[in-house]
Amino acid sequence: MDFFSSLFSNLGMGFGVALSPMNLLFCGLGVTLGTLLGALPGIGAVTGVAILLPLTFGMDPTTAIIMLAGIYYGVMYGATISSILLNTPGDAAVVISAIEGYPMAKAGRAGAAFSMNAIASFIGGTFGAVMLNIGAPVVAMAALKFGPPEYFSLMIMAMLSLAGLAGDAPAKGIIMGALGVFLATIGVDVVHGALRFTYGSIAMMNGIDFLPVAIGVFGVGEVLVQFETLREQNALNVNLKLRELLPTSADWVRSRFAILRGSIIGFVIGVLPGAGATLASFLSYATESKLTCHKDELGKGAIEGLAGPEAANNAAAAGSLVPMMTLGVPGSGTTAVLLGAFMMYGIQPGPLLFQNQPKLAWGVIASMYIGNVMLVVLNTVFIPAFVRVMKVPTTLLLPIILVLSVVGAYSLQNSMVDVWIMIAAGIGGYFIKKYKYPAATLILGLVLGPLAEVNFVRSLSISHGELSIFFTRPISMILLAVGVLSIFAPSLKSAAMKCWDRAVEKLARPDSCA
Amino acid sequence: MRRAEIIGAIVSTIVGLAIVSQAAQLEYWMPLGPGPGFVPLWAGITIALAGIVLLIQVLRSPRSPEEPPPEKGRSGMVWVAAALTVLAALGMNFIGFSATSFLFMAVLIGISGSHRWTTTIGIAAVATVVFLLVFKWGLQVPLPTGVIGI
Repeated sequence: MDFFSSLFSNLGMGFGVALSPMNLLFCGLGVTLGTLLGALPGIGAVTGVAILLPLTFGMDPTTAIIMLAGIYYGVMYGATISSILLNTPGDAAVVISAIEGYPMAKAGRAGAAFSMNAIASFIGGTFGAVMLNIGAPVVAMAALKFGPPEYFSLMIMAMLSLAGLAGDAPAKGIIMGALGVFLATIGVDVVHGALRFTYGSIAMMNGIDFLPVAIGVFGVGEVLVQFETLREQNALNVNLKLRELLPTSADWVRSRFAILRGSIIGFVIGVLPGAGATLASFLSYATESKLTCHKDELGKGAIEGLAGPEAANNAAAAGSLVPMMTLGVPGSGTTAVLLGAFMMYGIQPGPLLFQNQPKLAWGVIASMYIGNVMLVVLNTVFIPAFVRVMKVPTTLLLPIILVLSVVGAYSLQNSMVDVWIMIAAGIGGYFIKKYKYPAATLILGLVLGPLAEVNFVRSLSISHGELSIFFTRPISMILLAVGVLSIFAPSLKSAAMKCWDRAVEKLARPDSCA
Repeated sequence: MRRAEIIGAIVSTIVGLAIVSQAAQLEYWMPLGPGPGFVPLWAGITIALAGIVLLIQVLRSPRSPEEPPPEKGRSGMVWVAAALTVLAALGMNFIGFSATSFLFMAVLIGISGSHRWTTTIGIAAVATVVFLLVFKWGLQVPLPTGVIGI
């Protein structure tokens, strides 16, 4: 009872923060920018957060994080618009939405697809926010018992999980993660004060900040890839009258349980490091394709195949904030950039966040409820405006994004050094993306590297240099074991998918459709 | 693609070994535990080993039909855009942010798309003004002004 009363009082405090005029304004700005960026094909959540992060410089940290979180889940809503009209997803997490959304639009049901996207995303996002609300303090309390060995093992687990699940080969993920850890060691050593790999350069003594690298890899790298694949986007012309935006009662009946299942799958998958919104939406679609009574419509515009994955990717976005906020360990590229943003503002996410910065932690959680309400309005009433924005030629947008990347990197420390680091990372990012090396693992290594090193050194000073400390403490040992197992994630993932398919097939009784 | 994968694996191994050779010059172990060379050394070893594993995986994998290379004009645009970005970064200190930003966008939009010159100039000018409004006057970032002074 005490837990729930303190939960509600904390949430009340959070709403007090989130409902202040300034935070409301920037929450609205964040979700609108997120929807806009999401609607542009190829500009996903991580690129959006990375290139717009410099806009938050000078803001109050709470307002800045509220805006950045708004961009994150706003992209999840907006990305589906291009999936539905262009058959080109705005983010990897909505790839699956094109399978049913695009045929719906071709059949003249774009309005119903948009509104179902908005409603399913709202329910999934709100479910995710509620679970984040309940789950985050519980995880934070448990994590208070963690010592340096557990933290070190947790960070290694996060990097190995992301390396195993992202990209097309775990070895590529490991290369990227270790490269990120190495880049983080450049400059003054935080433990011993020694200079590492500076080669006499004063500029390099500050080290390599994560933000120019993130803007370069995710912003410039993405733009360069887009230049290579430039083509005319032939969006479907749709007539969006308000009456056509309402789903029919049959749509509701078909989608209600898909949304519920998608929300639960999404949140659970979102919490797991490395899994993320993309896997959640695929799992939700796999589930709905087994459970639907309209199998003949699959791939031709089955609305439940759109509703489930949409609820899942939005719930996953909220779920992925649980490990980031409570443990200080991000499980995806976007949350890695968000973690970097927290640290840029001098805030260390982790179990103490809810004690040391309650207004920020609860304010961000409360803003997610408000942001989801704003997004459902934006993605229904204002959908024609976003559809028009999506038709802006890519050749006009890409140069603007490049200038935004340059000025964003410069404004970090008003220094051209960051611009050069950003450009180098951008050219590297082009090859990373082209040859499918997971960029998120690089950023995770760069962000977590210094923390992992500090916790590693602290652990060994506790154990007088004995490495066994990581294997004799149960939590640490379990975390390391999970991390090592994650390296075999591709084979584990396909085995888990097969088990899931079999379990869902058993649940799908033919007589239930009668 | 296969050739690119092999090159990627070899480059990773070489980068890993280069990091190991540089990190070996730093102190590996100190009386109280790991020294400043410990983490970079193991990061280098990990990169080199993962590069070798990747190389073995690629060499053992069956050959798949080669993907068609991107059209010449398109792959060329990547390098045009990258080169212009480098030129813009160099030019910012000489002719200032505003002029560089305008020229960069106008040239890149002009090269990459088939828009009317009024659209190209208009978009470049409006975007430059918006950047100035947001970053220079809004966020108080002292953007480079160069010899022109804007």
